[in-house]
Amino acid sequence: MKIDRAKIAHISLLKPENRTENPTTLTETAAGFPPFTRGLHPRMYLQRPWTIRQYAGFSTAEESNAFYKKNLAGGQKGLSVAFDLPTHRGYDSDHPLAKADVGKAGVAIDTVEDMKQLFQDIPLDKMSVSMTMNGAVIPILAFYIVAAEEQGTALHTLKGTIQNDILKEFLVRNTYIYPPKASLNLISHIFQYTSQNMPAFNSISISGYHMQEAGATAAQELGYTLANGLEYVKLGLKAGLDIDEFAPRLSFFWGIGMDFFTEIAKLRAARTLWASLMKEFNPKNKKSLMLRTHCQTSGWSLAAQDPFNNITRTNIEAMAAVLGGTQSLHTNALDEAIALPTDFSAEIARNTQIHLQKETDLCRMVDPFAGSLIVEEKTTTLIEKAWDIIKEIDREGGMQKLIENGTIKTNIEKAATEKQARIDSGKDLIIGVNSFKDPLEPPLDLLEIDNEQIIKSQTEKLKRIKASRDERAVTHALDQISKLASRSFSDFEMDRIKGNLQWKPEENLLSLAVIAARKRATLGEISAALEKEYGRHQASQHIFSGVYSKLIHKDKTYISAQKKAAAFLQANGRRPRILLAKIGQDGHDRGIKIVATSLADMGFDVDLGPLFQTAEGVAKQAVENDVHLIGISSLAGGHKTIIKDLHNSLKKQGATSINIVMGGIIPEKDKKELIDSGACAFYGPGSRMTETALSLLDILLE
Amino acid sequence: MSKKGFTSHGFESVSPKAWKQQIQFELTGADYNTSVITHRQEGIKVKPFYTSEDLLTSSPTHKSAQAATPQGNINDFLISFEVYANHSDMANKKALWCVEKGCDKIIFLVQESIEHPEKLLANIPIDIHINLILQKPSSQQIENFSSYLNRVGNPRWQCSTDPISHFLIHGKWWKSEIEDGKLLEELIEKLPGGILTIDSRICHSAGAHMSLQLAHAMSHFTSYAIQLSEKNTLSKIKEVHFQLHTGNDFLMEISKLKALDLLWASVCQSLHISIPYVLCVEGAAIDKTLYTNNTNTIRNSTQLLSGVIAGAQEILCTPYDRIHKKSHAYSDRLAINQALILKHECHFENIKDPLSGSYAVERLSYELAEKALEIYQKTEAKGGLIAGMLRHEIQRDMQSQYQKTLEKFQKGDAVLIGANYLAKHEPLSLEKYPFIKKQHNKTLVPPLVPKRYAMEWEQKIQRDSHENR
Repeated sequence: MKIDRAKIAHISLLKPENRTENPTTLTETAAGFPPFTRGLHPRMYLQRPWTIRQYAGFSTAEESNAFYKKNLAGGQKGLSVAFDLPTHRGYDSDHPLAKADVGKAGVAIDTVEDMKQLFQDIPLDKMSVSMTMNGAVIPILAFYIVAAEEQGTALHTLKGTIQNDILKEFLVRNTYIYPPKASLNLISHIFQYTSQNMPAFNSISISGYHMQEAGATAAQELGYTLANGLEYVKLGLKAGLDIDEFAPRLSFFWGIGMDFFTEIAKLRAARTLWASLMKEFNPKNKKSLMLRTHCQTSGWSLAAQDPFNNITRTNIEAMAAVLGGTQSLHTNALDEAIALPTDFSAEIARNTQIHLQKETDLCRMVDPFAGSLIVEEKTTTLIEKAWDIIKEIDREGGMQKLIENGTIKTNIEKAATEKQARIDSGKDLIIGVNSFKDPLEPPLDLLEIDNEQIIKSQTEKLKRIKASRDERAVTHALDQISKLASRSFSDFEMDRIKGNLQWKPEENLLSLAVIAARKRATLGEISAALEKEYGRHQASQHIFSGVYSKLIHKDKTYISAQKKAAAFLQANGRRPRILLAKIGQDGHDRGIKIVATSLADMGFDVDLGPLFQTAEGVAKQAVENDVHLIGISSLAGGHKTIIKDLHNSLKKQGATSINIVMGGIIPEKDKKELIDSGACAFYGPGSRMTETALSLLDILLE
Repeated sequence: MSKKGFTSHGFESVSPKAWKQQIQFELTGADYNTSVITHRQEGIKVKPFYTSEDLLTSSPTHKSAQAATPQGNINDFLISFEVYANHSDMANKKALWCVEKGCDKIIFLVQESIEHPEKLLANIPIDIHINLILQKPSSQQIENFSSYLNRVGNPRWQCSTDPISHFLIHGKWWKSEIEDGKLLEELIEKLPGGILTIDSRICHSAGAHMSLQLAHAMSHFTSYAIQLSEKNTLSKIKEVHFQLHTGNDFLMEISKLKALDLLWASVCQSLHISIPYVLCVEGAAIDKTLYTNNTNTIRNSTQLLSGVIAGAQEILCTPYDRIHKKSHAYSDRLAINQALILKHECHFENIKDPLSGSYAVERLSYELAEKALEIYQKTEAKGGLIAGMLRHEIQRDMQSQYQKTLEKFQKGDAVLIGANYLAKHEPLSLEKYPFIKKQHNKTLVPPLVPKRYAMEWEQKIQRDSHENR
């Protein structure tokens, strides 16, 4: 039949299919109204776009300050400080246990002088500053306060966030110092101080990010994080605060991975759930119901192989965060899987956000995917699943109890192991890692940190400061801290019961730390003053079995690895035995846990050392347990020092026949030096566990 | 804590009216219409929020999202790459490389020098999709290609030609409108079950707004449909392949592609045509920049994601540095990897038509389609796309729309990183001229010229850098 142009004039437009089966009534609410499913503010980004806040810090305060200023000139709007691991763990840079990690994964801050340098020429009354600090939160916040004072900034103008979420440290991140109860006590002191003196400052940022990075599913991340949030709310109430005095200053932090629609739904679900949970506390202020959040694109989804692919991953994740309605965002740099960002990679990461904010139409509309059957259904499902988790935690006696007995940590580790099994078996594809690999990828210029130089300069600075301060005043200030710490938290509870709720600076640990900081007490000294009373927490390590094998037992490489391990047993009368350990202050243990459980499933005898070991400790344990191999995991850049020290310790013990293998982030160019220092094999990000097991057995059979 | 299952705890529902009033209250006197409503060139007002009240409920409705095309998961798309084929061996080598790197489809831009496809297709696995687009066909070439493909009989290997696209881009026909049309007819005649390629990307590159792009894509198809129906060969067409660009406006681009679906269904129903279409999406060229060009990778991922979410069946990979570099392995592979990441890493495997029900996208796609239909009907009432080109109206419309958008960049109301924002000079080795080349050939009409918004800033950066030297 012939097409006639004249007919075109009569075409009428069909309408989209009529969809009335909206699966939820959640979206009958509006942005700016509880339960905030569609966003916190009625106009969302039309009122104000999210804050571009890049997490950064490395080396010394001077270098980090220069980096911040460059980023601010390049369009970044807020700061987010990354501290090095010794700072997190309460050690000054001259402490022997800090050696491998000073200035590596963040900036080294030992005193107020470092903090002042960090923010030089950055007006703290105007700049919103986020600080990821949990363990050494008291001295760091004290330094920040004193730095602001000495900059001439009034405390009530300070805006920003301190992470201060210690519960998740015990679950996943491991940069704690004191045991859980004592750590929670510190948080209540911070709540008291900030609600009194720093009304615009967020006194806690409750983090799901690290749980997701450790392998938690979206529902786990939601459920556990909100349950932690409830613990903090109860803590604030116990400390005598009114719900509306501190709830509006609570903020959250989520990880955003590659599951695009789930991540959008997760943020919508989080807001809805939190508003409902908080309503039970009968707040008068609507803001107490609001879940304000920062998001960070997933570091775990980044690949060391073909790093430029990470630009795409990060952009997709950032879009999900924005479509979900985040208040601020960090986008990872393309090389963040292998090193700290360079100027080049940081610019691309920042431009990702600027692109989304200024080049696209994402800021022109509130909750654009509302009504989508998939997004609404995922939102509802996540709400229900997370709600079940929160109820379960409540039934089992609360988060603190489940953290102490390790239940939640194990659940997250199991989820991580399942994910690894899916990747190793090729069920989940990661481009450039387990599929479409390119052997000719060009090397990247990475940021290298001269750790020895930093230790030297920090040590000199510490000496100078200690020589010029009033030593007696410092000792007195530190004694006051220890004295107050020795009073049990129940004393404060008694005060509350008695109705004695008055703000008393001399009964607040942060307030006392501020005095000590003014006198130039160091971070290590303030931490030690608390440690004297609280002690240092040492977590126990568990290995579970059967999770990895369940998903991969039909895989050919898995079967060969099992057979080879069995042959080893036959020939040697015992199974291949490996000690897996972490040395220094690097507490990232997701990788080592997966290695431990999967190797155990393949027939290895696995010893998992405690976190934060010394090289001597590891060598001693290896000799005592008569292991064939030591596997060292290093994710924070301290690998060169660690291996050198370990090899020397083994030498002292006459045990150089024990092979050292390495996992984690090891730049290609460092490998020769590491081999010279005693390492014999490397298993970087993206290594399949099955192939790793075969390779380890080959080393032993050789 | 409540022991029962989750309920939203009695939060009251809020009407769209109350929401709007709250916004007006917070605007403290500023005009709602200018502060929070986006007025687009298409004549559409984009509201700050959409609710279930915005869903269109009256019939007739379009049920299947893609007329007669089975709706798969959104990650079922083919990853395709365009290979310039001037020399069989070289093009074949490039195609095999693309396949090795993860492409499922190769689009060969076949030049007249390639007389026979055999060498071009040597060793290409049979499950790879092929579109051999003849760029300047001759009867002999058509005979060779069609007889080879008929002999091979692989339904995934197709051949097409698109004389109208050539006319739009070059302002002239290969030979003449009638003779070029005859070549298309010959190809369709000789290759039953073939496809019609509608390469509409130039409209976006020349500055057309979304409804105009859609309208002209429809007119482009209509010209062929009228011609082929006169010869009774339209029924031989198995699929229509629309090639479109998507730009940076993520939400509107999704709406645009969904609007194409509505338009197509409406046109097919009214004209009693039943041909499925395939949507092939490529990241736009018009909003890419020469400087800070890693941002082009970011832009491409946003642009391709809108295509994937809208249900495109094909994603065409384009390197981030195509403005100034010739094809090279590194950036070609990076471009393919982008599509692979969208396909395999975003958990799209069980997702079908994800924005079905979306208050905003459903509404905006309808409004874009409505405006596009108006333009399409006007164009057709005046004789169609070619007639419009001959009267220079099409060119004028696009130039005027390009100019309006450019003014937004000039005023700072729109931003391109590396051009009017955070611009900086970087040393670049230019393998290609990155700006508009002047056409010295005689043309029948002024062609549609592909442009980039960033050009004037880039030329300024270059001038400043020369002066500073």
